[in-house]
Order: sequence, then C-alpha cells, then structure tokens
Amino acid sequence: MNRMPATPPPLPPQAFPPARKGPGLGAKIAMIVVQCVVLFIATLIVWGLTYDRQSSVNAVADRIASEWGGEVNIKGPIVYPVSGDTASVVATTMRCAVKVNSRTLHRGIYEAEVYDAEVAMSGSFDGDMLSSFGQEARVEIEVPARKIYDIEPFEIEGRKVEWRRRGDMLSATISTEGLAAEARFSTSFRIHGSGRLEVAQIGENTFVTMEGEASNPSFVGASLPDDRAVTDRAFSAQWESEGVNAATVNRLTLIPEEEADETAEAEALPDTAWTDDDYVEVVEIYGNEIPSVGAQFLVGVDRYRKVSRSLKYAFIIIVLTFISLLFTEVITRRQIPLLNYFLIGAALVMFYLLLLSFVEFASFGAAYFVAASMTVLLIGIYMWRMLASIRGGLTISSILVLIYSCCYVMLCLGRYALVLGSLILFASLAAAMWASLKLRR
Amino acid sequence: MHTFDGQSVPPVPPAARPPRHTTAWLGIQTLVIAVFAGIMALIANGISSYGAERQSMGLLSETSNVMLSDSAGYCFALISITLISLTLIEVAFRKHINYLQYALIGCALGLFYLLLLAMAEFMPFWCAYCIVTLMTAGLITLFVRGITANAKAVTLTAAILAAEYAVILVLIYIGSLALLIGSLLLFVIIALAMYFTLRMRQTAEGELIIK
Repeated sequence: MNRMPATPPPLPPQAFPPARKGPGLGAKIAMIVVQCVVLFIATLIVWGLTYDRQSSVNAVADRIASEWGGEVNIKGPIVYPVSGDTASVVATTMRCAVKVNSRTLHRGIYEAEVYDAEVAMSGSFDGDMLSSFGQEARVEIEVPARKIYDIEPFEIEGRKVEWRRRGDMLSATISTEGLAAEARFSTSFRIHGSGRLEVAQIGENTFVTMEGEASNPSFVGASLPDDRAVTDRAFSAQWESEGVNAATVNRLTLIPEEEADETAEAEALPDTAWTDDDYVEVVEIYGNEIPSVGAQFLVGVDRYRKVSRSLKYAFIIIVLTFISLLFTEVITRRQIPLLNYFLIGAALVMFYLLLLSFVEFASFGAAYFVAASMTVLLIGIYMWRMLASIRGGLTISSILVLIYSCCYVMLCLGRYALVLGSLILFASLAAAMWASLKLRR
Repeated sequence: MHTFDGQSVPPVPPAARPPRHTTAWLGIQTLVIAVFAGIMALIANGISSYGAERQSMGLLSETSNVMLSDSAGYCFALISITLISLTLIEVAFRKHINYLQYALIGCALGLFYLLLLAMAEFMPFWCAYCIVTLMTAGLITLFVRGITANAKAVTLTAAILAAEYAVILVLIYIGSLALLIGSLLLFVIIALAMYFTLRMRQTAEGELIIK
C-alpha cells in the first residue's frame, strides 16, 4: 500500500470483481443435500396421495363387494331336536370342499375382487344320536342365505329334504327313522361373497379343502392349512382336524357361555374322567368360538401397494441421479446450476405422480414403462440441450434407464429384492469410486 | 477493490452494479420458494381442516367443504409455480422483486383459501371461487404492476394466475380424472421450466438473462 507504483496499473476490465463461477464443490454438495431433503418431502406428499387414493378406492370397492356379498362363514351342519336348541349333534365326519372362482367387478375406474364359491358338503352323522331326538330332527347350516344359489337338497341316507332359508341360516327337517349307525349326508350350493371365506371345523373329524383362483389369498383362521399350494393365480389348501372326543363335542358344542358354568355344576359327568378345569376350558373353546379355517382375499386393487412400494426407492433414485449429475459436471467442466438440479429432481418425483395416475387406467407394468420413459426422455433431452452434447444426454438417459429397470426388477422380485438392491448399491459405489479416480488423472 | 491516492482516479462507470441475478441467487431463490410454499401449504391444510369444523357447525355445505379441501391440496404447486414464474419474470425483465414482496404475494395466495372458505358459506362454491380468484389475481397483478411498472410483465403475471386458477377449478370439478390430468400438466410445467432454464444465459459479469 505504501509503495506507490510509478504508473497506475491498468484498470481491471470490470469495475467489480468478476463473478465467481458459482459456489465451490463443497457448498454445492451441501445445497444438493438440502434439495434432496426437499424432494424427499415431495415424495412423502406423493406417498400420502397414494395412500388417500388407495383408501378411497378401497372404500368404493368394499361397497361394490358388499352389494355382491360380504364375508362368508359356513358353520354346520348341526342337528337339533325339532324344538329347542340346547342339545345338538355335530357330524362324526364332515368334509367340505370349496371351489373359489374369483371375478372382478368394474364400476368406472373402480373395481372390486369378489368370488363365487361352490361349496360341497358331505359326511356322516351318528344315526343313534339323531334317533335320540325323536321322530324328527332339524338340520341347520349357518351361512348368509340371501347370497346362495343353485342349492341342492340335503340328502341323508338317500332321502332328500329341501332346505328352507331362515335369515342367516339354512334349515331342514329330517326324519330320523331307520337311520343307520353311520348316516351319510351330502348337500351343495353356490355362494357369492367377498373378502373372507371361512368354514367352521364343526365335527368330530373335519376335512376342509379349498381351491380356486384368487390374486392374493392369505390363509386365516384357527389353524394354518396342513397342505397348501399357491401359484401365480391358483391356490389350494387343505385342513384336517380329527381326534376330538365325540361325546365331548356333542355335549358341549353351542352352549352359551353364561350357561356353561351352570351346566358344569349340574352335570355329573359320570362317564368321563374329565376334571372340572378341563371341562370349562373345552366349553370356552367350543362353546362360542367354533374354530374356523379359511382364506382371506383382497377386495380392492393392490396396484397402489406396488406404487407405494416403489416410492421406497425414490430417495435412492434421486441420490444416484444427483451423484451422476455431479460427476458429469466435474468431468465435462460445465456448471450445472442448482436450479437445474432441482428441476431434474422434480422430474424424478413427478415420475411417481405419473405412475400413480397411470396405474388407475392400466396395469402396473405398462404404467411404470410409460411414466419411466416419459421421465427419462425429458431428463435426457434436457441434459442434451444443457450440456450441448448428445453424448451427455445419452449417458444420463442410460444411467436412468438402468436405475429404473433395476427398481422394476426389485419390485417384481420380492424375496431377492434386498440382495439385488444392496448389490446394485455396491456396484454404483464402485462406479462412483472409479469415476472419482478418473478425475485426478 | 483497489483504490488509488492522487490524481489519476479513473472515472468509474456509473451503471456498474454487482450482478443480482446470478446462478447462486437463482438456486437460493428456488430453495426459499420451495420452503415457503411448503409452509403455506401447511397453513392451507389448516384452513381446510377449519373448513371441516365450520361444516360440522352447519355453516358450510359438505360439497363446498370437499371442494375446498381439494383446492387446498393444490396450494403447494400453486404457490411454487407462481413464485418461480415471478422469479423468471424478474430475470426476463431485469426487474428487482425483493423477498418481502415475494412473501406478501405468497401470503395473498394463502389468504385465497381463507377468503374462499368465508365466501363459500354464503354462495355456491364455483361462485365464491370466481370472486375470490378475481380478488386475489387482481391484487397480485396490481402489486406486480407497482413493483415492475412493466405492462408485459403485468400481463404475463395476470395470465399465469388466471390459467392456474382456471386449471385448478376444472381439476376440482372433473373428479376421478383429476389426478391424471393434473400430473400430466405438472409434467408439462416442469418441461417448461427446464426450457426456460435452457434459454437462460450468463453474461460475463455473471448476470442471468433470458433470451
């Protein structure tokens, strides 16, 4: 400052220091991280939208399905005396074969999965016990009777008796005369329903089989199937329960809980060695809660679930894209302004919004393909124009294509998704390391 | 800057001001707008839940309430698109809009929902919507006119606001197709924004200009 130059130095060409070429790399990365957080919040908003759509669509689907037929629980057959229903007899053997035909009901953009089940019941009763009720006895099957079609009469020992519908019940009066010790019975019907389909294991030995087609069955009830096979669309399952003491079942079924204690005290139980404790326990199990087994079917569409699952990868996609943009910036020595980063990130979030809106009109795969190609094209063209090099655009596009196809594969793989995902992350880390080594040379 | 004592002080060109519209400024601007739009979206959400309360008091009809909450769902997009297009207008016309003015415009856009709620209690929803849109768009247009004093900028602002509000009204009324059309429109808007950033050039001083 003290030394005066002999001649004043030439003026700088500008009156103010030339603009810095944007923030430094560190500051830029920090800003990009902030952007990532903002974009992640945007993704959460899309997730919330997906959830909203799913619940509103499922509400409509439930309404459509309930008009077709609701949950079905088949409980029976049980034989009562003609008057009164405290004493009852259940089958010694009960076979119930259910064939589920699922179908889709459409209403506008809404659809509901319902089923039409063919139920065939057969088995045998202890004829002597039925005769103890007198000349006649009443057979009942508890089932939503309004939605029953093609009903076959109840056939016992070759005698056919027509069913009568009584509220949520099928009822028939049979004659007990001349029944063999093992009185065979059979009946069948079709029933409309949706959601859940259960069969009560009401009998000494029960064999329940269920087969058919449904997009996503899950087995529910007191026990899981002993034998099951689930393929892409078809499923079959089988439950067996046997070895329940006939006398116990016959005496204890369908005793209301409040009566259970009285009965326990009143009855002396001369012929069994059961203690009172055992007795009450059995009443609790069989008195009100007859174990049922069955399957649960999805009523609404499950494509939204795929969208929300794919949203899990949004963060990774955004981060990987930004990293490749950063490398592009460093390699090509061209500034990419933060606003451009943000727009590319916004386009990546937009992908999910597009996916969500397309999935309502097309299958998930088609929607994914269209939305991904729109996004990749947009970002590819943008990079091409921005970097003024078609190579840069193509590189980014191919990286994006790779990321999106990996995500799609991960969505479809299910079990192997984690392995594949972590391998892809490892590979991209390696690629990033390799690229950063190339920078120094 | 280097100063010189003595006689030979060169005349500094009076027009030289440090550039305002730099890339760094644009980045910060975008972030600030995004955060601000997020906050306003939360407020709009609050207003729409207040609408539900008014409905339970029997002051607001149910359809109006549903439409109000539907329109509040577009708050984030509306505010961020409006403010970002104002930013682009600022760059294109070489004007200066400061943060307070941005905030005021954002508040006007947020107040829209409260006005809409208040008006919808007395008239059908579309009627209230049109009146409140006229009020809000008119206010903002006048404000932009005061700030920029540029007829083209004012027309552009008015056109953008009118288009946004018209699209939102249509989206509210078409129901199940709204998501599809809305997301496609957003895609187009992002493409447009990308186009504008490509049209932007930097001068030697770092000042951004839109060609």
